[in-house]
Amino acid sequence: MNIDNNHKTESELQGPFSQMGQPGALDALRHEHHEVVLQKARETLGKVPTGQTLLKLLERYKFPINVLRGKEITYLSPDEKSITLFAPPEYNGLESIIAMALGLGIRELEQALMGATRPTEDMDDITYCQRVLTKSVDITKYMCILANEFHELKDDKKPLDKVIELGHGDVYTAYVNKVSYEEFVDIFVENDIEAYEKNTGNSE
Amino acid sequence: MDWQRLDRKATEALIQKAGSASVLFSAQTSEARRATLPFLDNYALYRLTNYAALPMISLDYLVNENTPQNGSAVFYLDGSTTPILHALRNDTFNLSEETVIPYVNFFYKNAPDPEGDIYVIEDLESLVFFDLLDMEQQGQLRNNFTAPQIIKHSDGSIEVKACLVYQGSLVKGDVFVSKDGTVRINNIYMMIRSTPAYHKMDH
Repeated sequence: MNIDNNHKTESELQGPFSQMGQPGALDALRHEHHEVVLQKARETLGKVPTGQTLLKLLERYKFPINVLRGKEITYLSPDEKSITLFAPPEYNGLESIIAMALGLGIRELEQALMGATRPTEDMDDITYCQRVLTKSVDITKYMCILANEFHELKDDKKPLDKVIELGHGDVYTAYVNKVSYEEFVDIFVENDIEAYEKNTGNSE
Repeated sequence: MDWQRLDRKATEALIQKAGSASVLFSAQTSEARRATLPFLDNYALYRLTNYAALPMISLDYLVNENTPQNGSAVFYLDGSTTPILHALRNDTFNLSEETVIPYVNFFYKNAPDPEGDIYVIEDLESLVFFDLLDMEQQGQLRNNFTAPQIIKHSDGSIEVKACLVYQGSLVKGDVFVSKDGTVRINNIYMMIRSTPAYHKMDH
């Protein structure tokens, strides 16, 4: 099979996530400016207090970080030992959003270090959902914290706009208003259901 | 965008076609969707979404549906113009008065400008953040809005004079689409400088 974007032909690898860490598994998608994107993301994350705390964790555990090409800025940490960032080819001006994605990736690895690992298929449904919710609420809260720090301390509204674009505007307002954890979770769930229905057309 | 959800077998087939990115997806936890593109004969837009990933992740592809399995060309939409222009070269690019606006909006959605969204506003009712504008801005927009005017040139290129969302502002501009699919925007006139942040729906 040819993935023709860069006229590359690859041997195929199959299966979900388990092979992500294998050498070369995602090389065809590697960002052309991998090192620069990552360096700028680290520098930008280091400009806000919560980012500095997260970077200390990165320095301590030296998690591998891969940067892939993608039109949306996001992250994955499927093996809970490494971070995969997606960044667009034209990334100048988007450093704080990429930095936020890096920060959230580090936070997810920190969750695993604290015992909040990714749910597994052998869990019963309730435990599975509770774990997903706990992790998602925590990540979204960190998203709000980082967006707020970039906005308030660096006069950079781009991460906050991204939070709103992702459908977490009400959650951000709840964070800023310092609502209780229970209320924060309620607002998160309400927004998450709404965003899912809008994005998928599913309303069951 | 009218998405059609694919069954498990078709999802597996698309994962196979996804090249090295197949390691990010499994048929058990992923869903594939397909959308027809009015400006291409053989290529369709496919989206793979892994709902089990935290956060869930979606990757989009242009897939040639009318070539043999082993020879089919798949282009990963990586945010650059390259995969779009390659697909156009491998297919018949049906650039017409009917397809030019869907093409321009597709182009900037899949090769996004780092400074912000760009798309043609066909009518104010479809402008998702219209209600978020203050009353003065809404009035200003209603008074200045013009429906897109499409001009076909003798060389096959098409020009669209339209109101646009352009890098976070509302502008009037001239969008030129050439026969090879390249797009450029000229003669930009500012209508409203800063648009409100809004929740993007997946259209």
